[in-house]
Amino acid sequence: MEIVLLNNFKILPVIFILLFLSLSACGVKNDETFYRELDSKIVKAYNSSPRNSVEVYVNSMKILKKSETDNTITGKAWKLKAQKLITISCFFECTQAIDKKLYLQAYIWAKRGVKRGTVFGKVGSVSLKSLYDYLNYSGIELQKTTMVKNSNLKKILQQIDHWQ
Amino acid sequence: MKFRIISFFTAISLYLVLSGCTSIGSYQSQEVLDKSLRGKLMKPYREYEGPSRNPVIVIHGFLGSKLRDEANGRVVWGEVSFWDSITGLNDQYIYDLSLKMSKDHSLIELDENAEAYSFLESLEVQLFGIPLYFNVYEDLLLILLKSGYVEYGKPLPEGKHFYSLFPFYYDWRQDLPYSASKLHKYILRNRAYLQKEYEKNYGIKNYDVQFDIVAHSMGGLLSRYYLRYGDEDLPADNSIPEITWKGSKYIDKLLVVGTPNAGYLDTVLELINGLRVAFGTPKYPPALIGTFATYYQMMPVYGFRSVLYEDDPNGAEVDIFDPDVWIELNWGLADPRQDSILQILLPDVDDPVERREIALDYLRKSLRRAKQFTMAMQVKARPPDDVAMFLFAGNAVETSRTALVNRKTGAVRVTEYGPGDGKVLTSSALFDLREDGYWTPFIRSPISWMGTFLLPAAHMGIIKSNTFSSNASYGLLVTPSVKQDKRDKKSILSHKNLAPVSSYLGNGVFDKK
Repeated sequence: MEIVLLNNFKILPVIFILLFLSLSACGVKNDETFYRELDSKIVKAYNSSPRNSVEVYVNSMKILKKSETDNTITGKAWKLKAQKLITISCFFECTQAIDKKLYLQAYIWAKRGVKRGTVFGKVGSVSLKSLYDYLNYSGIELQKTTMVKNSNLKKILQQIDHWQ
Repeated sequence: MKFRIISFFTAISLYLVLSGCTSIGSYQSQEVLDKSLRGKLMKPYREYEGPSRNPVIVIHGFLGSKLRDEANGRVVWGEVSFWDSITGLNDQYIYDLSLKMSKDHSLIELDENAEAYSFLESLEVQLFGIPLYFNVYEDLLLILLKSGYVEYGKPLPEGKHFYSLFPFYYDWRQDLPYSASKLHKYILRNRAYLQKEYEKNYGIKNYDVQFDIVAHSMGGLLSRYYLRYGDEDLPADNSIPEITWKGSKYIDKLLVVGTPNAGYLDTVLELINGLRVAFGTPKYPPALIGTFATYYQMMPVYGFRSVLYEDDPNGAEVDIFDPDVWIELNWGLADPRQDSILQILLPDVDDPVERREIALDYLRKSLRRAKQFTMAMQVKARPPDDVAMFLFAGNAVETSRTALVNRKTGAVRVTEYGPGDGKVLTSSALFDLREDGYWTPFIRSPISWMGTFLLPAAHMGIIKSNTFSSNASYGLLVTPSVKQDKRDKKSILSHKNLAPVSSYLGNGVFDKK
């Protein structure tokens, strides 16, 4: 038995490579599952009536955070998908807050969208760039509102970064 | 008994205190207040700076800017001495203040000898060496400065990066279409300045800068001419020019204040009898002020029945634009008694006959051009939809309405007064054509006003009125013009068209709705 092992010693690197590949594949499979599971939650939240865009945002952020440490092609692809969903969810939350005259909330959502969103891609017939530009412009305009001006800047920045 | 009296007065006092002392939350208060709480309302406007706000041009009226001789720097207009009112104006001053007459040149070819260099913010009158100030345009500038505009040439306040208030000084004696061509150059120059500032501060290239204008008195005529004809001169053949609205390309809102749109009677009286601006100021002789082209351009328009013959008050009105009438009645520059002044105005001309010829030639040219100007201004026309015109006029002071002329002596006396600001009739400011004697239930006017504000104030008092300051600021800062409204479409509130309607299919894919 030992002899066999010794004879096979030459193929040990090959075994290690195969082992690594299978483990990697398993990892990808695990990450893919992670992304997919979150994505299905997003589908549900996005298409629910009324739309739960906070849920979309939180789950998209989870995908984004994971994808930032994932240098695989899959990771990169999911990063862009997450950024898209972040832009859209921030747009929905921002505009809803504007309609309710909650300008501080609107400002925070606009800034979140600008910080983590993307200009690439389309949602149906709407370009992501138009939504991103709107969020950017809103951020500048909302900064002039008394609600934002009278608020603690440090707290606002914390809220923009907070996502869980 | 004593107790009853005390109780009675206590009850009365309590009632008065509770019912009449405050209007806050009161249904019954009938208090009328002199001052608004504009300061509070204006705060965000004061702080704002950006391309969304139109810069404003302020245009003064007749006598409204200081003039100085370009050659020697002497102040031609802006400071007057009480001593002059006793001893009379000195010859050099009369010569400096006059526009030069020449038979060989048209009115606008005559060279300028003075430059307008500042608003007549206050008129300084030296009374026995003690200066007295008649506040003139200070109040108007203050209203605009308090609204957040920054005056050109003054130090920039903290938080402001460029100028937004542009005072247009012009020689108020000169022909109005000529001044309109200068206004055009002034607008283009400041437009270029602001485009540069907007690019520097906001990264916007070639921004379509639009101006608002606040024009007082004659400044309103100048602005209205500019809106209609831009920098185009009146045709040389004396015809009425075609309205192009060329000036409206750069103008959004025009606020005219106390403007004699249909002229005012005092011009005729002053051209005949001379002008005294205020108590303590000297009298300016008819031949001197008869050189001011603008005087004729502000005479009452034909059809308003402002000047009638004493012996035929129901007959045809006196055609005050006809030079023969002036010569026949010995008026103004045609008055032979003015030769002593003509000697000062024409120092190189020794022959009195030649002097009179030059004066009559100048009178003819001035009247012909004034007639053409007034005709051009009364063509009924609606400005482009993106231009808004607002009028502020006084209606509480008795103002010269009709004058009767003695056909034999040429003497003129005012016989009828109407509501106005003391100088300009309300009907003239409105250009109410019903003054021709045919009354209709609604106004007939060649001007399409977007809004009119009638104020119980005198000619310069309109500017001081709180009603004026509140409504002028509102018109300039709060009411968007058509162009501003279009630009403001990029508002955070107009997001409905952007919202995606697609549903999410997963894996970054949306349906194609």
